[in-house]
Amino acid sequence: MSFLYADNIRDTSGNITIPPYGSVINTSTMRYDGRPGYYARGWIAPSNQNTLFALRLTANNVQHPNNILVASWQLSIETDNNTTFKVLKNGSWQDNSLGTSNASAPSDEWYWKGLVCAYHDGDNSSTPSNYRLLYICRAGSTGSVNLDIVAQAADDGGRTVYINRTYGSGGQDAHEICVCTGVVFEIAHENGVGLTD
Amino acid sequence: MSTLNLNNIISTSTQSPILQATGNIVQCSRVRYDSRTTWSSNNGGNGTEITPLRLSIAPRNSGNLILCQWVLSGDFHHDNVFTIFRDGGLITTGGEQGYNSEVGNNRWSGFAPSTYDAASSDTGSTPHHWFIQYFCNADSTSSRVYGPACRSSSGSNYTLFLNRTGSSTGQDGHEMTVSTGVIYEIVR
Repeated sequence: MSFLYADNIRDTSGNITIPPYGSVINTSTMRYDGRPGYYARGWIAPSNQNTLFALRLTANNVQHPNNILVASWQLSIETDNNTTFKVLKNGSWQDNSLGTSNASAPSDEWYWKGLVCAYHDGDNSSTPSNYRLLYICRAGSTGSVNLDIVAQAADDGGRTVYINRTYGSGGQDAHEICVCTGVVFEIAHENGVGLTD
Repeated sequence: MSTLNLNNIISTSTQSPILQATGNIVQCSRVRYDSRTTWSSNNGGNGTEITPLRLSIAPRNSGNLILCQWVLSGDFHHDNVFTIFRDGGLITTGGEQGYNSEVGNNRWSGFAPSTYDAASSDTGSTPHHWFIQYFCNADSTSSRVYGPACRSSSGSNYTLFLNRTGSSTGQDGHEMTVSTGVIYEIVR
């Protein structure tokens, strides 16, 4: 292993060609084609909910705790409209985390807080929805950082969240079966100013 | 041309890598499409490629990762899916299929679904937007294009109204929007 120590690299005119911060230095991905159902409950702590482990994004070999993780998921899901989606970082739901949930909501009503929520469409049988989750946080540590999605009922009820399939079918005419993917970038960052866990 | 061969470059102030062998984005290109067009979404075949949204790249290394992201805007019946094409054909490579690999290449198998409106199957005055995120191995350094395609998931044929609504190309209450895409090559 060779190392070159420098704060930036300049061309022969003195212009910086590789800046120290803002560069993507690690990328990890996930793709999931399975078609499971997860039971999502309302009045229970998010950390005790059924985590959608199949959709886990792991930032591998994180280089510095001050670096920024930018996680992007494409989701194909059918569920009731009274459902929220949260992100757990290393299994922990942090109420004030940037983007983890709507942090302005009262802390005792966390079950209806989410990073995004399910759509209220006219069908809960044969057509899934397309969601994009974009979650941004400070890495907080080096090594591996796991980012998981938790689906939670936004009331005192419970409901099933269907991944890559519809309520009514795991595959037939007019019941769309699709794919979920995720990508996480680690971006070099000087000191994490403005970011909290 | 000067070449410097090493495995890692580290900042003296943070001890963080500035440049390392894996994970870096080494090239990127994009597409933006503002036209208001229609595309046939048929109940047979692999789908109709939306060619103005093609993303072109010639990878620098065959071992690298290719990441494509699109945001499509349009009006579309809910019984449809989007598939992914490479060089004009549906991607069928194992583990990288442009549809759900568990159920195979059926017409109801896609990479992303259309949307069911609140008001049943409106394709009149309000478009939707869809996010598609696809990645695969570069496999070679040859130039290629990736693009999204649309196909019906039922026995009927439909039309995708891109960047427009089903009943208008621009008037009060009928939103006209934009579709975009970006492709990255990432070192692995």
